[in-house]
Amino acid sequence: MMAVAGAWARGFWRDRSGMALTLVLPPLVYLLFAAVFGAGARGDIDASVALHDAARTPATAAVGQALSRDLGPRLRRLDDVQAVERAVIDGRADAGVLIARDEAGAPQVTVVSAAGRDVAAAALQARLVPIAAMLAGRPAPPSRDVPVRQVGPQGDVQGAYYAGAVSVMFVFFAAMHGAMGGLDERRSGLQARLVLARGGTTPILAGRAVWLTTVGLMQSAAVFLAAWPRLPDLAFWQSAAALLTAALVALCAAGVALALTAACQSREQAQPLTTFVALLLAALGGSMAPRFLMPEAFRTLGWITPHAWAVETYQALIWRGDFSAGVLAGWAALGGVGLAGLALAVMMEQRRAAR
Amino acid sequence: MDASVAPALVLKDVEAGYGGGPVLRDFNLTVAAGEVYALLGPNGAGKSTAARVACGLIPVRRGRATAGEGAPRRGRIGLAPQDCALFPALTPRENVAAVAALCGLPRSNRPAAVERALALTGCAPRADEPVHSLSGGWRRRANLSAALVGRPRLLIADEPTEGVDAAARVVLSSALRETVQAGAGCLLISHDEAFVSETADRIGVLAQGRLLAEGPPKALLRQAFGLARLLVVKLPRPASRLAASRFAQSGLAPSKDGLEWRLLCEDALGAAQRVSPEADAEGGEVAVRRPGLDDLVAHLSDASS
Repeated sequence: MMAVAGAWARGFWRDRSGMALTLVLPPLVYLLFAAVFGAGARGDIDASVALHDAARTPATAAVGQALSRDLGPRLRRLDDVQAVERAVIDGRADAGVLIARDEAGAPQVTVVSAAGRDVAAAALQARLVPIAAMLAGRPAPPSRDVPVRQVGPQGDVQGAYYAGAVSVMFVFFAAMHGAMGGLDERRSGLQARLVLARGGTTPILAGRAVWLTTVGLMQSAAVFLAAWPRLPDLAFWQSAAALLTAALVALCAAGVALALTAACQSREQAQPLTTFVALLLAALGGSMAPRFLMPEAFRTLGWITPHAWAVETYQALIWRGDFSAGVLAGWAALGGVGLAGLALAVMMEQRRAAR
Repeated sequence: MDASVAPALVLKDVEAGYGGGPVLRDFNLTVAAGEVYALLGPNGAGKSTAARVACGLIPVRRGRATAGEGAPRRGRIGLAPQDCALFPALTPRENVAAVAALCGLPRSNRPAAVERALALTGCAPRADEPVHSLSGGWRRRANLSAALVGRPRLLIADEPTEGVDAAARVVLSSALRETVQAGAGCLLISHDEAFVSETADRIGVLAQGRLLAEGPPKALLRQAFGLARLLVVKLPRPASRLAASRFAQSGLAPSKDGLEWRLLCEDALGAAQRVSPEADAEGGEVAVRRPGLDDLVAHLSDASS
């Protein structure tokens, strides 16, 4: 078993550019995901706003100045209503603000939105409520009627989330790609040679699983290293448990990848199948978009993927610092799927040899 | 061959195949310890299936397949497949060492076993270069070394000389001979007539999943052809009507493409003299030779079909 893992490890070590891509790409993608998605979920929605002030009173000019202070260069003043609407429709502005006079001559504020811009419009609307009340000569509604109390750890929850989510996605991609080497070994007869030398299929596939698990663990380590500044302070037990989770994720990916490639006749079959499965699992399991933003049905459906178990286990351990039954269930699911995949791969390879 | 030593391989009344109908039927084959047994036959005859049955890679539906005696052990069968079955990024030495480890050789014995296997095939001079950078001939040597390192009881070599030069062929032949002299049996599958002639102790001719004949090569040739010689007329283009008529009158039979005419008879020289004028007129070549193993395979296959 270790001879096979060692042979794969030597091959990996000698392909330096492949090795670099395997270990450098995941942290880079993590940094990108964390930067792109992290800002939005922290509440820093950098919405751009188009403003047209048709009222042109000192009071409405003050509103414009207040918005300008708030939004800076993201506020654009336009000359007419149509220009504001076009800017919002075209996407040059996330939302628009129109200030006009009503029939009584009082300034009236309207937020202009378009399909898919609900979040930006709602955020802008909330900012404008007290301003609109002031312009209408009404007292501003008290904003503390519904107080907000923040609970749980402080810090970059998105950064922590994506460390797990991105690492799982890449571990699965790498495992799928790596397992395809087994198809070459089957085609050339190397697999038959190794099986004969060792006296069975199980040790050969187990050797591959050991190596794929090692690569997966290295990838996860690379991602979490890049994520370290964004993670909350971790106790030793949290780091150890996260390491075990990463090992089980890698084992799970190795098992699934070996089973999928064992089911395929050739690389031509395996390439699209494994890519499809890896993308599907990543999308459903919350590696691309956070699970807590998914509709309930998809969040439930996501539990069929190892990614969801992995992401939730990482979140529990790293973000919430919570060693619960959920973590144990996650470990069991990941390890179970990995071992079942390996067993399935052995069975299929043995049956294939007999066909 | 020592009759007291158990055979390296016994296939007894074997029926085996893939999914549909059987490829091998009532197939019997014994490879004795200390002999090279070459399996010959046209494409699709069932040679590779027989090799896979021998390896235990496909189960027999009926009959019995036994490699060696006693309980199965790791590395009992050494396989040198037709494709070079090696890790391409590793060197031949590393490949052979990996197989040695899988065979369960004790760690302390491995370096010597690896060196021996590399020396047997003459692979040592290029043993530290990655396999992907080696030529086909050197890969063949490494491929065979990896099959030999575990000192197998049964060696299965599938087309070991494909793409190798004459010098390498000699080395590979002596590697197989040394291996069987050490007590192993070797099942050789090859289309290389010269290699089989100089390496095999016995041959078996296989067609449509059945063994048609087996025995020492010379004895089989003598049995099939006696003192007959083969007259071959090779033409650059199909013969004219006149020449074809003359060849046919002399008993020659054309090949499917019409570019070769053959006659097997004891007076091949006389027949050659009779057809030479027509062959010359057609720009062809006339040759008389002893029938070889390829001719034997064709002869037996044709007779059986």
